[in-house]
Amino acid sequence: MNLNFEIVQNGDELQVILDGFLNSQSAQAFSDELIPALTGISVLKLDMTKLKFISSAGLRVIFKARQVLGKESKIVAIKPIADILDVFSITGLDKMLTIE
Amino acid sequence: MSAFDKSVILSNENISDFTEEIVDAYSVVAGKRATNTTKLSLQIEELLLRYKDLYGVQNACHVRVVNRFNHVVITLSQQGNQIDPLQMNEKLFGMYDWLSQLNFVPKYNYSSGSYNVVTIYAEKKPSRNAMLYKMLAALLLALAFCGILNLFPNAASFVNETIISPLFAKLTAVMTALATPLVFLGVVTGISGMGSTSSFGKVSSTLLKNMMITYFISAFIFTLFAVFVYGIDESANATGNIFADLLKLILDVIPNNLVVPFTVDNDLQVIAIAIFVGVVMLILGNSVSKVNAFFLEVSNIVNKMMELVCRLLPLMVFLGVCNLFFGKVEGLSNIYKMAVVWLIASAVVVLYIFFRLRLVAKVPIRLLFRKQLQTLMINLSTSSQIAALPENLNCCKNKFGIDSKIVDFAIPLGIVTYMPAGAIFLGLLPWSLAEIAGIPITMESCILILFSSIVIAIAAPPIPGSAFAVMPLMFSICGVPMDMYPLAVLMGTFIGYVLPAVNGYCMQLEVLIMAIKQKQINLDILTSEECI
Repeated sequence: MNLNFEIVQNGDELQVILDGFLNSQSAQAFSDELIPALTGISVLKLDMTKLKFISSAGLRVIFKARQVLGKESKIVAIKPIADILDVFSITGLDKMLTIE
Repeated sequence: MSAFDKSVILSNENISDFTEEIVDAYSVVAGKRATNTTKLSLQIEELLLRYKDLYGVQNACHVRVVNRFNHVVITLSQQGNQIDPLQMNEKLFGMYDWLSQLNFVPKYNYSSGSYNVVTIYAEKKPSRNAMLYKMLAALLLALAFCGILNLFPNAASFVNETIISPLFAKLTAVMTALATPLVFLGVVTGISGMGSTSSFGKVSSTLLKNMMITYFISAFIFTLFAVFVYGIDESANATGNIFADLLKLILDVIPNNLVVPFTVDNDLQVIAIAIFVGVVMLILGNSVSKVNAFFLEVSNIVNKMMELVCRLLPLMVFLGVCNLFFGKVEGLSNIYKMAVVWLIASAVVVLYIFFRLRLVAKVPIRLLFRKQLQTLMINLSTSSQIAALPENLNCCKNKFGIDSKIVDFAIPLGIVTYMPAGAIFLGLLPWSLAEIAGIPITMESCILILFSSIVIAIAAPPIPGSAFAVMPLMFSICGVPMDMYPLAVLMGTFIGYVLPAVNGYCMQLEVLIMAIKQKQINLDILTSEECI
């Protein structure tokens, strides 16, 4: 149950492609790569097309990113699957993210 | 016995798997009544992450999963300095408290001087109307059974005298035997527990005060209706002097002995002792924490005993109806009168709460009703406030805009203690049965019924059938013979179905009034047509 991710910066936009399971086992490594890369970023795009699962530990990383980016910035979740949309809806995260 | 009991040194590598094990244990315990586990899984993992962050990895985190009543109780405990893991959302997530979005209400306490304990009451799906269906089935079966047996008068008489009557009498006796300790422990633990609720400050005291006022208003309303509909026997007053009678009434409630009231089933004196014990424990506070814990544990035992006995309620309805049929008890047709009076009195209480709401804010009643409709429908369809709890919390937070800190405290408290419609039912019951039995209700009995209905409604535990359990206390307080119990069971079967909906509806309005008064509400959300 691994997570593969790829971080690509394009000006003030950061695109992250996620593939696999974002849980307590993988969240720390992901956070360690993502959070430092957020400096100077105003739009964070999380491509969730291949993300199969997100747990509390994964949500923490998104909340942390939101804190670091500030309220003026934008986080976009791209094509999350139904189960992940359900998690966003349950936790109220769907109101804070732009879902495409 | 716990279904799951395991200690693990938490790490990022094992938290996900440990969460999965705990959620699996919940699913096994809850069986067919397991709910969607996504919320539970998110909450458990979040708490385990916090445990790891707050208490370190020197000690193992111990998790137990236990089946209890309508919940699966999950307890997490770990040694460490006293830090409440439920209070760290701001540090983690800014101002956004997503854990409270999950509608579970975990409780934290620091136990045995070194353990941080969080208890989660994970819901099970309500067994939809299971008890009501069983009781209605018992009613129909009894009517069919009696109809057939009536064709054979000798057999009917034999069956009634040798089987039905003794069995019903024994079941009633068991119920009555448990009712007195149930109410005694309910009153003692309720009053002594106020010490912990006072820590919630002004909010809890305002809420409790408003609840008590509504209880008294409800009691006065049903008394007025009862006097009007059933009448009062003024000739039966003892001395003819109302003040002398009132003084005698109060003096009679105070026991001469702390033991005898329990042995002679003097329920009023037992309640008086319970109030006294509870108040003294409240004054002594932490110095009697062991006694407090003892009473709580005994109360749990008695509640469980009553829950088990209440499973026999369908049998009781069957035997009760047969007993009524063969015993030729008059008055079945009078049941409708009490139902109508109960309905009108409850409607007046709702109007009174609306009136109070009108005094603090001008919110269109139609808009409010639309926002409350979903909770009301769940309450009505399941006859359970526990089943409607998630939607109730959602309505108060997201449709009314009340601060979640108030909602998360007030609604669970209200489910357990706020039962004005129950007080009306318990109060009207002896009036109705006394009329059928031809027993005069005097001014003395009238006052006793008024106060007893409030105390007993509050003390009755929130378990299905508890109203049936405490009915015998109302009987003994105003001298209604236990022969009338089958009729009471019938009345309770029908009115008891609607009771939770009325209580839940009033409670939402009560919490709304308090939130407006305390300015703990977003009025834009409350008046918004979109938040429905």
